[in-house]
Amino acid sequence: MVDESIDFNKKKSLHQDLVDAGWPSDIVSKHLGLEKHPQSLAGSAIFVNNISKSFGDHEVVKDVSFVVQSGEIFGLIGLSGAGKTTLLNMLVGFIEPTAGDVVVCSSAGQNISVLKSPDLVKSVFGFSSQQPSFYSKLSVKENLAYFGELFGLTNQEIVERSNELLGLVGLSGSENVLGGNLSGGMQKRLDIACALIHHPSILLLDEPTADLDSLLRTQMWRIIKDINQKGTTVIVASHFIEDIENYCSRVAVLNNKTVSLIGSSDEIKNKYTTNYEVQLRTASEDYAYLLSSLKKSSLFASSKLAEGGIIFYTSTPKKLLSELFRVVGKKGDSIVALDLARPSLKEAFESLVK
Amino acid sequence: MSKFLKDTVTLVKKNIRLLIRAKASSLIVILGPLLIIFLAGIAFDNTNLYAVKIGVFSEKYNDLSNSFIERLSEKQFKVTRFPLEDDCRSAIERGEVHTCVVFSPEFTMAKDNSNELSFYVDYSQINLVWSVLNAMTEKVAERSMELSRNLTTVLVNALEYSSEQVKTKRPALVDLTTSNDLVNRRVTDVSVRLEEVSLDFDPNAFGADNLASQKNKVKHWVDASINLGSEAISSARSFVGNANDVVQASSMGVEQKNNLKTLFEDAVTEIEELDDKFKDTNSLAGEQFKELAKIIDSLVGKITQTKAQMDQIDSAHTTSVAELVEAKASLDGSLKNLLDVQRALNNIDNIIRSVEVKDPNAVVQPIITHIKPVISQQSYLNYIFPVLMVLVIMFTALLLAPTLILLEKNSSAYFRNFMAPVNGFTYLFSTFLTCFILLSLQLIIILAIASIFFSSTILHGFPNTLLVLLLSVALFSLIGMLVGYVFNSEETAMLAAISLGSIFLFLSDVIIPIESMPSWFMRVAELNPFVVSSGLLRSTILYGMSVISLWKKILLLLAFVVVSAVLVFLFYQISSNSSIYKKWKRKE
Repeated sequence: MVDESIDFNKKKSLHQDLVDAGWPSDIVSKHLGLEKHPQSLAGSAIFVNNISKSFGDHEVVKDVSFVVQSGEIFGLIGLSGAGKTTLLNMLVGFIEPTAGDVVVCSSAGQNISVLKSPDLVKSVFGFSSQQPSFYSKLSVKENLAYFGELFGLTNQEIVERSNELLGLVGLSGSENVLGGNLSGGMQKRLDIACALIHHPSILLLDEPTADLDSLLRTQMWRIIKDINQKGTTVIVASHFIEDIENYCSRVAVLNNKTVSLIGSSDEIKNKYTTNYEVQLRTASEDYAYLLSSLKKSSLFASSKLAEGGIIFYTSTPKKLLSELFRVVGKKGDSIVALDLARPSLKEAFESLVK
Repeated sequence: MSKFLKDTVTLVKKNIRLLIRAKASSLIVILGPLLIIFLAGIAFDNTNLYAVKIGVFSEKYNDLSNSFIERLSEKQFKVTRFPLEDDCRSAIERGEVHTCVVFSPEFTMAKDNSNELSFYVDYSQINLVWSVLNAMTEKVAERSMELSRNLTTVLVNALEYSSEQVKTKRPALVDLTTSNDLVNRRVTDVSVRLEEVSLDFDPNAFGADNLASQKNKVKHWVDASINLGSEAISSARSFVGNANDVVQASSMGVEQKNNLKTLFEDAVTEIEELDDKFKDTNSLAGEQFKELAKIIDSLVGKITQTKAQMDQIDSAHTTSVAELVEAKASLDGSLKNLLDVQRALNNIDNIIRSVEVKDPNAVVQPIITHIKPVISQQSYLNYIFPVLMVLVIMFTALLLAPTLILLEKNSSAYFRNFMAPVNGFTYLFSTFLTCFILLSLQLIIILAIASIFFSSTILHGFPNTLLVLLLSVALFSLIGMLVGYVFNSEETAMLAAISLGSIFLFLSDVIIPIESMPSWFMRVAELNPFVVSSGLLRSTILYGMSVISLWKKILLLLAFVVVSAVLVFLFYQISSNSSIYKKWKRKE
């Protein structure tokens, strides 16, 4: 597989040369047999090449291929049990794929097969799994030192890196607290710090904001952004699609055991929904009359009650808004808040997986 | 420092930290062995049985039974008297007493076969029953020995008195024999002499009949003589008268005639005188003959009387001789008997003298058994110390290694460890090394405690002991690791470890000797790592044997270590793959 990857890299290099020379990219790709590869590896951090995984008769992931570019925050979304964790585990070699391979592009420009050289890629990855992965009976400092030592860092390097990471994840001052005594959010941050202790070029985060309140979620994403800004490629699997939409440059949707869609949030949203989102809040907070008045019209596709009022999904927002104003005025009610937005990635995702 | 060593040090350091910080593990690792050795030290650092409760029952207590009971009560035994035998037995079942001693109804030294002591014991408490029985029988044997010694003393004294008496009275017996012999000889002489004495009395030898006939003949001859004398005298007279007449009528001168006449006359005178005298003599002879006849008759009577007496004497003589013969026979018999008695006494004396052992103690206990320990006994701890050490090693290793592995397996850090560029063998080795180090530390503590507080002779042949200990630690650590890798939950691993430890324990000679097992099973038990380790440790600690002399068992232990190591590696590989799958199943 490594050989194939190397061969692929040569082809890719040739492809780039031909494209630079003015040849159409798709024709060149087809000619070189590169059309099965979704994207070029240039500037890539990791290339997932048609991996599948079955546990017994149960097929979890099938023919998944994608490329994660260096320096990006790559989101992975999917329903529970879609195989996000399995996919991440296959990326780092924790689970061996039934078929396919994962090629890691090291900082030295080498392409390394995770399947063939699992030990070589271990230093490339930092992984923060859904459940924090550190020793609860060791202190924050001891955990960092322990994993740093395993990655071959010197004591001086460990001290310096620990201080840097503790500052980055906001755990300064908690160095001597046992991992098990940290709060949920702090544990998550310690886990990320542990994952970063050895300067990995790729950080994989599996549900980094699970079980965190919104404040901590925001804090966590800020940390992730900070990490990313320091040059680390981040791959995040999360069921918080809003966060993925807000923070990830590209997203892969895992559906029906494979990556059914990959692209930026907008690309996905544009592809899978044309609806706008109209959020309305009235003074009376009684929306029954609105629904009954608008029910007969075909101005909205669907609606739902939310904390901030009622949300309508519509492809004709202007018509809907004028009708809303009319009905509210007729009722003698008043509009307290009104928001018009593009539909979220969540809607696109829900449309996709329906 | 190579990466392998560096990683190993890091992992061992982490393992120890985790163990120390996990309360349960700390208990197992540090306090467990200390507690075990401390308790074992206190429990076994003596040579006696304490708090053994004994129930006794006797229909009729007497001095003898009471003396036994007092002897049992003297030391550590608590003795309870029960009114009924059944109560006493039931008390064992209820656990109130450990054994029940029942005295026979007539428990007295006066009786021969009635002094029976029956012990009721509960063999279900197999580990206690032998100790109790040993202790009990020891005490009973002590008292029994005393009684036996007293009885034997009496017997020995009687023997010695008999010997003395034999010795004292033997001269008298010899005298008696000599006297008997002398009398016998005298009787023999008398008898011979008596037999030589002929008491044959023939009255005819005295011619009594002849005497009478001779008397008559004499009378006849006397009468004839008298007649002849008278005739002679008459003839003489006639002759002289005729001679005178012839002379006178002769022509001879007168004178001559006268002279002859005178001579004739003188001759006639003399014949007359002679006739007178003859007549006197005849008369006297008649009287004398009468007297003679009377004497002869008296003599004949007396001879007859004497014969009768002699006949009586002969009869008495015959009787006496016969009686003397009988007496001699009796004397011979007596002498024989005396000699027999003397011989018997000599034999008795010889036998008594030949009895070299006259000390009652020696008679009562002709063979003095000295149970000499091959090492000087200070306490039970010395004896059980090797087993105790292996026991601590075994259980600690069997608990510690799975604890470490399961701590790691079930740790959330398992994934991050996987992500670290450290190969599986390093984890494996570091786990083994952690167990090894911790167990070694425990052993140091145990050895220190044992040598300081319990006066144990553990430092005897220490290098050999150390080698066996290290091999045992390695073996049981690997077995513990095997358990840890086979099982995936701490509960099942602990259960398996304890079960495995129990199997090792039950198939050893700690509870019952393995020699009491069926032969095929015994051979299996002999391969029990616990038995091999404890046997080796016993040899090195107690007997100071070198490992060279124990090379077979050392090799066996080494083989166990190698096999265990291979199995651990295999199960580690299997377990790693399996745990990944299980982790995925849990997450999904």
